[in-house]
This record gives sequence, C-alpha cells and structure tokens, in this order.
Amino acid sequence: MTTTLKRLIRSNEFTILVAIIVVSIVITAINPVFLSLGNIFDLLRLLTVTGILSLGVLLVLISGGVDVSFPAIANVATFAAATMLLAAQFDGSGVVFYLVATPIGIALGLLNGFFVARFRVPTLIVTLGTSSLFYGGALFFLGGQSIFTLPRGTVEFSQAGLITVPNATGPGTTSLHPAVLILAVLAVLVWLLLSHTTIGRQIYALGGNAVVAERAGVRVHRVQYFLYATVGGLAAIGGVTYATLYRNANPVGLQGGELAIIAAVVLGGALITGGRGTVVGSLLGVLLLGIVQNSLVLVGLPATWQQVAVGVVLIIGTGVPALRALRQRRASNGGAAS
Amino acid sequence: MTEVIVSMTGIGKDFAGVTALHDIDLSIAAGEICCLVGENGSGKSTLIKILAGVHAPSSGEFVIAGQKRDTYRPSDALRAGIQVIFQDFSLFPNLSVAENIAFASEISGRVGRFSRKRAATVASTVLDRMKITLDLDARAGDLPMVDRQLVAIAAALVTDARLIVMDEPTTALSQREVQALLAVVKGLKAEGISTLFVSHKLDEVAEISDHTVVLRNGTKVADAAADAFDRAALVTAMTGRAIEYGHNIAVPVADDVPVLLELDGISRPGCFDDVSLTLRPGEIVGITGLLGSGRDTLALSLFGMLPPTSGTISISGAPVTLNSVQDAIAHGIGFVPEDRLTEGLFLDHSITENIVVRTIGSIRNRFGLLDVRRTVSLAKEWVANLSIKTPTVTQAVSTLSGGNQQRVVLAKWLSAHPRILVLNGPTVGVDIGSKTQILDLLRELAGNGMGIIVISDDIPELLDVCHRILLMRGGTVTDTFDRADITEQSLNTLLVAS
Repeated sequence: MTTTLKRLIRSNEFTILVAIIVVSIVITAINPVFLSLGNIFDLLRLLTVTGILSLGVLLVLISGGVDVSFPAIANVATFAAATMLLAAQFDGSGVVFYLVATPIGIALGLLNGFFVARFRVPTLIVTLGTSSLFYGGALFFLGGQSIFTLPRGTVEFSQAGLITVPNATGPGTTSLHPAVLILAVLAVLVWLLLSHTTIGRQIYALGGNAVVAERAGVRVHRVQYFLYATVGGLAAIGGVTYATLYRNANPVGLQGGELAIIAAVVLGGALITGGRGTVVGSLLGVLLLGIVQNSLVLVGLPATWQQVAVGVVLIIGTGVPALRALRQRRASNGGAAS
Repeated sequence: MTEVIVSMTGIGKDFAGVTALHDIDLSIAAGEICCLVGENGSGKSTLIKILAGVHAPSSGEFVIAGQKRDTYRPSDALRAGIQVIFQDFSLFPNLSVAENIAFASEISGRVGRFSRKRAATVASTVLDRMKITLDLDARAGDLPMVDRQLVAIAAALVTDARLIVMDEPTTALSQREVQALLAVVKGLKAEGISTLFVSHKLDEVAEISDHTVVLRNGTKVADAAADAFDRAALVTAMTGRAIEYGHNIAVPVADDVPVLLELDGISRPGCFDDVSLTLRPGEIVGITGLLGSGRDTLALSLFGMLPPTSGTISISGAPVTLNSVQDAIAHGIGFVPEDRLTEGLFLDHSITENIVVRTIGSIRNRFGLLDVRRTVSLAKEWVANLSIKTPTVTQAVSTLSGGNQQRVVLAKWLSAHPRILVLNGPTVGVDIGSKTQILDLLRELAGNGMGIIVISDDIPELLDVCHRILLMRGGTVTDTFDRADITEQSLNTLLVAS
C-alpha cells in the first residue's frame, strides 16, 4: 500500500496536479473570478479541442514517433466534410458531420501509417511531408473559402449547454458545453485502449524498443497502421468539434497549434523518445498550459505575456524532471560506479 | 539415451568471402548445460545467431528434435523451443517486470483484452518455478543487470523453451549475482531444460558446465565433457598457446626520476578522502578496491570530472587544477573509461572517426579545412600499431570485438600523445589473448616514459603490469605495496577483509 502511494506521489501526474493547484490558488487569490463556474466552463470549452487532439499526440509519442500532421488532418477532414454536406445541402443532425469527417481522418491517418510502416521514414519527417500535402491538397481541391453554412444540427449543438450559470462579471450567462463529454468519452476509450488491450501494450512495447518488439512477435506494421488510423480519426473528431464550437469550417483553423499540444503532452510526462505517457498526464498537461495561457488576463497581466508564461511553464515543467533524473544517475554513480 | 534437442553438423558461415565459422559440429542433449567458450571474434556470436535463425549457415545441416531442417528462420527456432537471450536482454525498459515476462503469451500472442492480473499470474508462476522473487510492478529498465537477466530467462520459460542460449550473461554482474544466475541455470537443468552458456570466464564454466565446446578462429578446437579440461587446458585451447598471468614482476623505477604526477591529500566528500600518490614517468601504478571504495570516483577526478575539494594535484612539480575534462586534457592526461561502449566510443561511427576525434582540430590542410586523407592515414597507422583486427578503417566500431574496441579507445588517446594515462578496467569484457596484448602495450608505453594508472579489480592483471598497487577501502587508501612485496593470495585476502 505504501509503495503504491509512494509511486503515486513520485509520478509525473501528481507533480502536475500539484502545480495546477498551486497556480489556481495564486490566480484565485489575485482574482476570485478564476474559480467561478462561469470561468471554469469557459476554460473547459477552450480546452476541449486541445484535449481531444492531445490524445492522438499521446498515442504517437508512446509508440516512439512524433506526429505534426494532426492539425492538417483535422482541418482537411473537417473542411472536406463540410464541403460535402454543403454540396448535398444537408441540414440535419450534427452527428452526421462527425460521421462524414471521421472516416476521412482515418484514411489520411492510414496514409501516414503507410509511409511510416513501409518506408520506415522517421515519423516526424513523414508527417511534416503529409501535413503540407494535406493542407495544400485541400486548398487546391476544395478552395480556401471558409464555410459558415453548417447543418442546422451542428449550429444547434454549438449553442447547447449542459449547465448554465450567470456570468461572474457583467450580464449574460455561460454554459458548460456538451462537447466536453466527447472529450471525456474519448479519453476513457484511449485509456482503455492503452492499458487494457494487447494492442495498447504493444504500442508501449514499440516505443520501448522497436527491435525487441519485432523479435518478440509484435506485428509492427499492423500496430502502426492501427495507430495512425486511430490518430487520424481522433484528429477529425477534434476538427469537427472545433468547427462546431466556432461555427465555421476552414482549411487553416488549427494549423500551427501542433507544437503547443505536443509540448503539453510532454509536460504531462510522455517521453519524446517513446514508451511512456498516460492519458491522465496528458490531460493535466493540457489543463496546466491552458490555465496559464488563458488566466493571465484575470491576474492583470497583459495578454502579450501569455507566450512568455507558457514558455516558462514548459521549460520548468520539462526541465525539473530531467534534472531529477540526472541527479539520480549522478548519485548512483558517485556511490558505487557501475 | 537422452534426447538430443539440437544437432548441427558441418556448419560453416562466410560473410562476404570471410570465413566466420568452419565445419562446426555441435549437439546439445536435453537437460544439458553446454558451455561455449572462445575469445572475442572466435565465432561464438555467429554460431548463436545461426542457432537463433538470424543468420542462415552457408553450409552444413541442422537436425532439430530428430528432424532435418532445410530452412531455418527465427520463427522456426522459437517453435522448436530455442530461445536466445542476447546481450541486450531484449527487454522493454518501459514495461513492468510482469509484462516483460508474460509478453509472449499475454501481449504479442493475443488479440483483444489485456489483463494485468493474468500477466502477473503468468509471471509469478514462472518466477516461482525459478525459485526467485522480483517486484512484478517495477519497470524493467530500473532493475539491476542481474534482475534483467533473470527477467529475460523467465520470459524465455514462458514460451516453453527447451534450450536457452545465454550470450555472455555474466559480463556486467558482480560475483554474488553470478552465483544467483548460475543457481537458476542449475535449476533449469533439473527440469530438463538445456542451456547453452556462452562465456569466457573460466571459473563459471568450470562450475556449471556438463560439456564444454571451445571455438578458436571460427573452428571447433575442443569438445568434451567438462571434467576433461582444467583451467590451463581451456586457456591453451582458447588461445592456442599457454598463457601464464600475474607472475611478472615489474622492475621498480629509480627514485631519482622526477615525479610526473603527485596527489597530495586530495579529498572529495562522499567520494574519497585524503588520497596521496606519486607517479613517475615509466611507472604503472595500480589502484584496486571493491565497488564503492572510491577507486572509480578517484579515476574520474583525475580526469577533471569530479574535482577534489581539498588537497593538491601537481604535474611535473607544478600545482594544477583539474576542474574539467578540458583541464585534464590540457595537462596531457588521457582517460580510458570503464564502460567503453557508452563512455569511450561512438559505436556507430567508423574506426577512423573514433581514433581522430581527440586530435581532429589539428588535422588541417593548407586551407584550414579538415584533411580527410590524413585522418584515414592516421587511423591506418594506429590500426597497424595496435594490431586492431579489421578489414577497413571505415568500418563502424560496433562491428569489432571487445578487445579490438578497447584498442580503438587506446588509439584515440595515444594519438594525442598523453603524458599520463588513466585506465579504469582496461580489460573488462576483453578475452585472454587480447588482454595480454593490451597489458604488453601498457608496459611498452610506460617503457617509453608515460606514467600510467590502472584501476581494476582483476588482481592478476594488476600484478602483471604494476610497479605499485594501492588498495582503497571506504574512500581512503589503506595500503600501498611494491610489486615485489605482494602475491595474488595476500592481495585477495586484504581486498575482501573488512
């Protein structure tokens, strides 16, 4: 029991949780609005898409890869789906938007999987290439015009609210958007996949040592196809959610956000070299970065400091564990060199 | 008659025209511990890889479980119950002990749900069978070497292995850990599981072997029941000549030769305390002691990596500070680290690049650019000087045997002409033949006026080359002996006395 507790306290997730609590206390002390339901709902709404995308990033990082094409897949799948729905003059349920976009995302993900598995090109290079390809292809074939005419169901969904509270500052109300539930369900599914299925453990094995995994009978190609298809699907769901929340679909919306999300997942304890990472850690990483990024205004710092604050959190957040690991290694060397 | 698990006849293997193995016969019976001994480069690894199905033999035939095999791939080896544990143990450092052990049955061999509980059951059943306990939830990468080895063996047992091949399993283990491992191997034998134990540590071989096979230069030179060999016979079979060790007595260097390096009461809290030492040109001083005695940290401090906090270091009579590796190099100190694979070499780079890395800044042509041709000729010179066995100097260092890799490390330093050379475990993982050659080289270097410090726990080796031997315990030098005043036995007794 005590060892379990010790492991928990020493875990990355715990450290980030403590950091989140500390940051929250500080911000609340300066401006109590931070802890108001209205602000929390706003924050969750802002972080829903990032959270969904971070799940895909996590999967790839665990397998030992780095994927930078997920914003492109999210945009392209969403934009293509919106274009199709518009052409078909579809005006029904918002679910159909998801159902059309997700297979497109999966297909694009499979293309990534194909290049990674077949040509054994480093994943970063492959996805840099496909990212450009998807983005350029979308512009060429679908045009660059944002689509504001979304199905009625999507528009309704964008205005939905699970709980509505009055704003802490000024008039109006804020709602907890149900898209948070999509994130919650996906998070549970990815957690189940990683921890309780053999293919999930194979993804970890692949990130731990790809050569050994192959030797141990893991069908590496199959795992990679599965992995990148899943990531493509997650990206598409993230993209549609984004389009729904902001009520427009365009080919560039999420472009440029990839590194911040990868950073959040690494902050959450995933190793950039593969083999380690958890769903809880990633979501906490996203939350910590999100709080820092979105709450500076509440404490009276100008928005221009956001980038600086995010940078500081990332450097401290990834630097401290690295330093701790280094110390440990030094200590064991000093006592009895191996 | 006992069942034969695998029998190979006339196995040969060529790599691009170079014969690695020639006409090898080997058969292993159920429940037998077969030891395969030979120097580095004698063909042991190639033979194992053939047995694992990784390399296809160029000639010869395979009979497994009474059936002749024409093709033989890794999957065939697994199906026949032949499990090879390579030196990297083939573990997943990020997965738990239980997952590593149960990997074949619960993770790679199954589709769908993964049950942590079932994996734990599988793992603990096997560990019970081996009569050992391990923390099932620990990450494999956090375990000490011996436990990783045990996890690898347990993982092999999960697949119903009939023959487990261990490639130099004891290289990184302490004496006590070796005993634990050997006990497990004997336990396997009692269950009828065979082991092919590859080693060049003769004491272990003597302890467990039923049947010893000796390879030399790719041919089998001996194959007999273990009790047919004594130590000397094994050494002779391995090297092709009789080698005697530790009986050489170095002639002391005269006292009037000016001192090259002097340590005067240097200390570093938690590492070593009040260490004094003098080293004259031409002298080889040995430092020994158990792990944690301060011998390794002292070595690092001489190379500027753990600077002493008090005391003085003088070189040629002048006090110097060694606060960084750069300082040490500037004062003409060379350092051969204990773990050449991670600290001494760029494994994937060529021999040339490894040799010139120290001096590359000075190898310039008249335009001030790197003179590539000269780097190659320099490398060739050192390859010849130190008789490094390799077809070309462009070969990656990782393709060389342990003894040859160590010579590349030496060449790297020697090409920069150091005045003082500090070596930590210069012959760890090096076979006997190469070992004598490396020790000869050290003697020759000292003869040319270099001052050499050798840190080692290999007593015969120290006795063989050193003029003086310092014994460290708990961070201090407890004794200093002139070579003439000590024998292997007396030093060993002192070493283990507490």
